[in-house]
Amino acid sequence: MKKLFRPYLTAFLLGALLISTTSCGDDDDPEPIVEEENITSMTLRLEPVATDKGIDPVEATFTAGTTPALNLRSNTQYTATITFNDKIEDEIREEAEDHEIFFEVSEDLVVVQKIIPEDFDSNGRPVGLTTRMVTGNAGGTGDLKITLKHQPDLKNDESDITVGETDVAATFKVTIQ
Amino acid sequence: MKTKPIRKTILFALAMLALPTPQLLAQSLPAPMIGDAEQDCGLTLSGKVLDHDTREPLIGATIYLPELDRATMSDEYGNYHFHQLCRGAYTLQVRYVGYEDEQFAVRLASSLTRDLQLHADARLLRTVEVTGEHLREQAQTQQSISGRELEQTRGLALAETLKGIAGVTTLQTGPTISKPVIHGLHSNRVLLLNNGVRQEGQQWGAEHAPEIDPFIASEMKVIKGAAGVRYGADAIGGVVLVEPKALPTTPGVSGDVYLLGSTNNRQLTTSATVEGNFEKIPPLSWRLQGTLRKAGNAKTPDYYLENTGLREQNFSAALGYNKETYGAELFYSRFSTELGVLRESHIGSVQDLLYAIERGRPSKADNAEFTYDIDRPYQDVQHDLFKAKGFWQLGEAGKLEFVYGWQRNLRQEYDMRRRVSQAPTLQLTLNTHTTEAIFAHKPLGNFTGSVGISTIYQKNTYRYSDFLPYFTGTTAGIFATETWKKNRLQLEAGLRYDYKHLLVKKYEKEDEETSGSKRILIKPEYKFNNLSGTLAAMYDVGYHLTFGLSATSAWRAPGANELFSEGVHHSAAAYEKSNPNLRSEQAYNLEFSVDYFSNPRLNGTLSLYHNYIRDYIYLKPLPEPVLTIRGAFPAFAYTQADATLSGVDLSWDYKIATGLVLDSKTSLLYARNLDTNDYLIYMPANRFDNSLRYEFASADGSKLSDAFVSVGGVYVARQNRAPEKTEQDYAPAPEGYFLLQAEAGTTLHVGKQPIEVGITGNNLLNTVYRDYLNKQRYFADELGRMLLLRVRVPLKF
Repeated sequence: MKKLFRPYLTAFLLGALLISTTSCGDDDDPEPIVEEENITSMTLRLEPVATDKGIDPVEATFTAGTTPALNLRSNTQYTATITFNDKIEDEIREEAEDHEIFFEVSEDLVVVQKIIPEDFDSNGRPVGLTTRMVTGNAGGTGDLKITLKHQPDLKNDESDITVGETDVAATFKVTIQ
Repeated sequence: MKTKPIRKTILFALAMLALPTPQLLAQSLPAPMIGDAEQDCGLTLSGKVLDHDTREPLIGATIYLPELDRATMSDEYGNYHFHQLCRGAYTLQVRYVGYEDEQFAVRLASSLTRDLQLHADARLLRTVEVTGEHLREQAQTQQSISGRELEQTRGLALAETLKGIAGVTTLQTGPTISKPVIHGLHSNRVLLLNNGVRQEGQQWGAEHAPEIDPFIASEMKVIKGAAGVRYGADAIGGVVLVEPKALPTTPGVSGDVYLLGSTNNRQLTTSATVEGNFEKIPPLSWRLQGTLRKAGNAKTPDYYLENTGLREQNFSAALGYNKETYGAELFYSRFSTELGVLRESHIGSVQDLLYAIERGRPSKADNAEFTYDIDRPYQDVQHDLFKAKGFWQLGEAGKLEFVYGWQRNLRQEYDMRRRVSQAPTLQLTLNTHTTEAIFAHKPLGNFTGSVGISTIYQKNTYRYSDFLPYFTGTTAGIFATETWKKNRLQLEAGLRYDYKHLLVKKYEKEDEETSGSKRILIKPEYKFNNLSGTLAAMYDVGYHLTFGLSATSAWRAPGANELFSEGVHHSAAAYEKSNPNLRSEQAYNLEFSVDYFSNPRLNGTLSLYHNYIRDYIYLKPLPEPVLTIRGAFPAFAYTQADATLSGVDLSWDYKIATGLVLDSKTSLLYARNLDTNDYLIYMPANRFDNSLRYEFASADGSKLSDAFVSVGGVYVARQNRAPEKTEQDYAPAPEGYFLLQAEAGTTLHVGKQPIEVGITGNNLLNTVYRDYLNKQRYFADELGRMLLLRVRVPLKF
């Protein structure tokens, strides 16, 4: 009996090790991942509503970890337009019912009005890609926080910045001259 | 009343059969003299044979006097007599079916009455009793769930099933995802053995539930504490063994069908098993098993949780050919599940998390409705297991066993996306081959033991996201254990050596200033090796009391995720930084336990443990947040520190009256980070689980049998032992809570067909609560009241 099983024993003990060693021949390397839908930058462009006063448009681009400066003219009405890398604003416009951009800034500094009809979604709710900004008196400085929220099935008359998922949270340093 | 005398007669007849005939003949032999000068040979030794615990007389027990080679038997009142004995020392050997053989020393100077108390045989009891009792095989605490206790958990996820064991809790991500936590440790630190094969899925993730269908199990065992010697590296926290019942050995086809339904998430589950054995080829047997499970949105006392449904389809097949001296078994199983993840919990930034905590309930709580539909975010996981096992009884030498397992784990995570796409956001494929060969030698004197070798080869690949890199891991281990047993003392020792090789392939950003966003492929290589050991002693005091003391160790090499995953973890709202320089963790576990078992009234197990982990790997908060386009994320880096986890598990039951049992479980845990001199985060809170069960006596021929009702509750204290010095948590630990639970069940007999029915009610008071170890406690409450109905129909074809 013992003699009969000895070959089995050796064969299986060896087999145990063999399986692991033979399957080690893996030379395939991973392909780099192309990350498609990342938002990497947000550009805020302010153009004076009155074009005849010789006020220059202002533009600043936010990327992660930065606080770009915006030097604005006092008591001026601007039309503010937000764009992103890779023209992601077009996608946002397509899904306007699920997106909204929120602005947080001291009213003494800038008053943000979401009143541009072409900015509204099909439910008549603003998106925030285009807004009116009215600056305060000269000498004021402070932060303008802009948050893009993805609010699928959540965007309605009561929804605010606290619901949904944040896609971009940008801060600009505003100085009124 | 009528049956009693008959039963006595049967017992008497059985005992007659059990009595060795030569001893009966020996009764008439003349008594030899025992070395004493004074001759007095007219003494009588008499008494009763009693059950030690119930004090009931035992009828037909054999009492043998080896010195005189005389034997007698207890009568129908349990009395025995020996007449015409001389003075001297005698031994009474008593034997009775269902009881342990016992010896009593008697010094006879005059006629004497001596009652003989026998202890019920625990080994025999175990086969009779459905649940509860156990025979200790090793010093380290090992507890199991089987029989009726397991039946009552049917329809729950694997980890939930194990909650019935003191010291075992769960780590949850909402109602669909839970994983077992043993003595505060989980994920990579708890090994799962699915049908004897080490489960290799993506177990590193806190939100990755074990890919095992609990319906395949007829027993689930939990080894609490480090068990590295037998089960290999990584078993720092403990081991869960999911064991199916043995394949049938008697000819015929049988099976069972389960039907389950629940309120709340409207779960519908059906599971069926068919198994058979061939009359013409008796060694050949087979089993087919399948489970379908489906649940919709779960409901808290106040609102539905959006997107918390699940779907599961599992099947398994087994084929066995077993002879006495050799045998082989093939097993294949597929587990596939889709798990919905609470929509609300997918957030974009820490600010979103803070908004959610402040809001206190999901933003769509009022509008969420019931549906079985599962939408993004969800997980789709498929796990295949193929196992081949063989054994040879090598004559006098011992038994050789060989197990090969192949597993493929395919994990797809579908997170929220802004662009419409059918593709997952993350896909991981893990292929694992495991082998194990064990040789258990025949008992040599007082020694029993085994030696073995095992190997693991695994390869992980990804698509769509490189959160976890490609890696190839090769592990080889060799171990030996020996048990020495003499009389009441058992000593155990074991040693194991493991070697692990890890090759990682990962794209990494080159120095950003020189090459911008260009990425290069790096291939770091790691080698880990270490020893695991066991030293343990068990002492059987007698009177159904056993003491155990064990010192065990295990180690764990850092996982590929801890070494190389980096990025934002959306569900956790944290930026995790891996650390390629991590060392292996080493755990030393000391346990003292007392077991008081197989007693008629009070039974219990007390276990005190102390687990010291050197270089425990955990996420340490970094002072500076990581700034992303979505805002600032708190950053955590994988760090190592020495940690201790000490605690107490106590489970006991007390029979108050016939049929009425109080069952109580207590788990306490105290975990410290020795380097920061603070508590460890995310450790289970103190937990008390008590229930009162009444089992109805079933009359013969009745249409109902095994009927019971039970009422109980679990109280989970607030986790006051959360880190204080470093603010790691976004919200304080939730308040403690009490949940009222009740159960009832019976077996209906429709003709010859038994049908088991049961109903379980969880959170009957509809208590609003949150649990510290649920990752979604920031977003929503736990489930409200749920009734689970269960029908099992055993079938004989």
